[in-house]
Amino acid sequence: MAYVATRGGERAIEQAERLYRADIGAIGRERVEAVRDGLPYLVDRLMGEASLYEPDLAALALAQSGGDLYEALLLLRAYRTTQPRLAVAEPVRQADLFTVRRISAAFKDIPGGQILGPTLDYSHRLLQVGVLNGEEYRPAPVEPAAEPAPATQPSLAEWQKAQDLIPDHPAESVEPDEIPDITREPLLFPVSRAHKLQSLARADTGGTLALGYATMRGYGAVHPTVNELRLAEAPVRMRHPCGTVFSAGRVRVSQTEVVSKSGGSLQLGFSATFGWNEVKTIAAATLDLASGQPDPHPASNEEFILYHTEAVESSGFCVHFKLPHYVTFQSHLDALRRVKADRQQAAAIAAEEESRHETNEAVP
Amino acid sequence: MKLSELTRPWSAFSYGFLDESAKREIRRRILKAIAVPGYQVPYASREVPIARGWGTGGLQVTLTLLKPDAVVKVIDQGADDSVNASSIRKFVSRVGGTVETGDTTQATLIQSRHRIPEEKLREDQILVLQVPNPEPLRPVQPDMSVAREMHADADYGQLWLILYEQLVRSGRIMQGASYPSMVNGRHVMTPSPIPRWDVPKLNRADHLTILSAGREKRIYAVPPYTSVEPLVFDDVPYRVEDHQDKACWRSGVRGFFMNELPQEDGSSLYELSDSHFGIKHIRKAAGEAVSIGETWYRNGRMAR
Amino acid sequence: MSLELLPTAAESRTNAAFEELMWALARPGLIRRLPLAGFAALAESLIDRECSFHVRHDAALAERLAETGARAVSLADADYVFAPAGSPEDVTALAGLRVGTLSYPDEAATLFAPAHFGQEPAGRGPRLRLSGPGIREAITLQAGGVDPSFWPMRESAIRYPLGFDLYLVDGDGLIGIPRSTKVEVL
Repeated sequence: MAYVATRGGERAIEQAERLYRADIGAIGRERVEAVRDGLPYLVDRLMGEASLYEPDLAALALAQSGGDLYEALLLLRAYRTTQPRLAVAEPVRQADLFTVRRISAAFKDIPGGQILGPTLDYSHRLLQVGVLNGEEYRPAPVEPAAEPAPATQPSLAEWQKAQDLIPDHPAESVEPDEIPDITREPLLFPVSRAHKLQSLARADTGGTLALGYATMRGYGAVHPTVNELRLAEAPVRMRHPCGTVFSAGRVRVSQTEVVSKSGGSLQLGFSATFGWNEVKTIAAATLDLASGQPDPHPASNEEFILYHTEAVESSGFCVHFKLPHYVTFQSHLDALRRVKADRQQAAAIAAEEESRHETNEAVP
Repeated sequence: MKLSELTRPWSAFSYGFLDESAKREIRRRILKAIAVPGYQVPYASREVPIARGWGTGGLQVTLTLLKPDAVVKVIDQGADDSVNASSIRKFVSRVGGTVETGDTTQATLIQSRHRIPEEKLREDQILVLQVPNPEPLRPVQPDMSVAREMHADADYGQLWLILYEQLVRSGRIMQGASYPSMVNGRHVMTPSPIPRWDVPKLNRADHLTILSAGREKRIYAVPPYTSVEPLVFDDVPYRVEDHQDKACWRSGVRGFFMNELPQEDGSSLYELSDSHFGIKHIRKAAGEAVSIGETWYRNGRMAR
Repeated sequence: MSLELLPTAAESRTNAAFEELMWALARPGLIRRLPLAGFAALAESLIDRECSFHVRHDAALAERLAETGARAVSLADADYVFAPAGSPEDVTALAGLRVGTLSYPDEAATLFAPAHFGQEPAGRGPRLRLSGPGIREAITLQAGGVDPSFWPMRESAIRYPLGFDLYLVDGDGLIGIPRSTKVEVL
């Protein structure tokens, strides 16, 4: 055993990291900007899961991890935890959102109108292979509508509440400092509404989709209809200590309400997240709705969905199985060998008795 | 109030990586964990720059306790040179500027995954155990809310039942590592996946043990001189792994927990799992002045 | 990445104060020495906007604690209570301390009370025998400034794991008595 054994592990991990980084190469401002500008939906997805709205940092994390989403996410989350909380923004209501896309599947038309906005929903998914042969793919320019859509839209749910179609849950007023914050408090069950929506907002997109899809297929009693889906820019308004409210900028947000008939009324499921990520908010709103039902299906139980869609925890635990476990394995092996030894011993005794028995019988 | 009162000069990270508010939260939880030994205290569990499931719970406790004159030992499966132990140690010294050691007797703070060192820990030492799954009731109740009620009611009947079933089915208790243990006569805890060999080292020990699960967000503790009793039946004694007769092929030392190394000829070699303990024996045999601390086990038996 | 390798003075202070709080609770009945005397130095290492507190008869301390962002609440709602236990009236008031629930015994209050650990015979208080986790066999101590009725009140408040945790503070001296400690008045 070498005295310098400790250095062995350290050199190995250092060189392993270098191998990974050598594949990615040097990272400069230019690469980060190319990621940020060229892959905005990936950046959005990451910012939502990180609960950190900063496109430059998200693009840097993607560049630094070579596009491994879970690695990029961990980089951002670990960065986020070191940042002080300086202030709490003013609440944003639906009517405040600068909405670029707004869809309702529940009605043909709605107050404020359906706004298709940017989407690939009706595109033909054809690879533009010409690009690989040097032809530039230049999408056709947008032709502006004769009349621009209004920047903000009323809430459809407000209309439904006024019609007494869905129950109203008046917003509780909470002091900014008392707003529950999942990043600073443990998740406990039964979960508070705030913690549930925050957990879903930062949940893994793929995991949320998998569980949401299971519910949609029938593992759960809800049959969601998209009441209203929005992609928007939300104003971040701060209150200056002297009382004036001012804008600190805008963040891209998505939100989805799904509606399902339950008993005599309609019920809403809701989800919102940073960035434009439709599939996640539809799935998350479905899970919100399904998990709020009395006695939900195990696949849409609150604890089940919130624990298992936490991206940093689930990905970390999954890859941790690569770590050595030889001590625990040794301990299990010991128990197994003991039982095996017991059985061999028991079999030996039985065989001995058997042969003694046979010998006795053989004696006339 | 002025902005300058809310902020401080920019720096990439605080000392020990975690900011004061994260540390204060962990401090509050540690105190409650000590006040109710074996009870799992929920905590926020911030993300740290290593992956979840890789010792983030232990790391958050270590970072909270860190000070420049701390002497830190980090082990994984008993070994200081294990890759993940190296990574954690490197991070701790990077953000804490602390002294590193492999020597159990020199350390003030020991972070470990799956082992308790063989040399006895003293009253001034803190052992931080990394915990993958803090819930001893998980095998009988995966729902954490229900498991919490069972702890509230000290309802451990189902745990006894699975041990009994193992006895009936296999004639032996089959629990390997993570042996469920009653702490201070009230809360059953999992001692983390340490082998059965190490569990008696927690019972009425001189040192303080803090167990922390980062992913599952729970901290619990075993203060010094606190009873930790593995769940056993009166007529079926607790048995540690049969390692008392095994000899380490490197150091020749006998009577401690071993790693088994399968050989091509079908046999096995054994080496001390506590790697630095082994190194000390080898150096001592080579004539170096090395002091080996008192051990929990003597001649392969737990000494009391 | 540039990293500061040294803690700031404030970080060192709160780290050291916490270490004493931790060892005081892990080794009940032993006197620990704080880096700075007084309640404020202890509070600084633990209390912030995520906590609630209650202070009796110490306006200056209440003001210091409020600056941390912690909420001032009634005694029955407080996470951290700073209050004397020197008179029967004080003790009666403390009977309302939160003891947690069986599911969440950590939701109990922590009481910080002034006391005297000195040797002067006057007001040394009754002799106490402590046993339980953190105590090798048993330990005896005397703490002045705590009304004798405090100990029966404490005993009836504790239904382990329910109960409050106690720190006695004498200048820079600190003694921890968690709810797991059995206290007998000799």
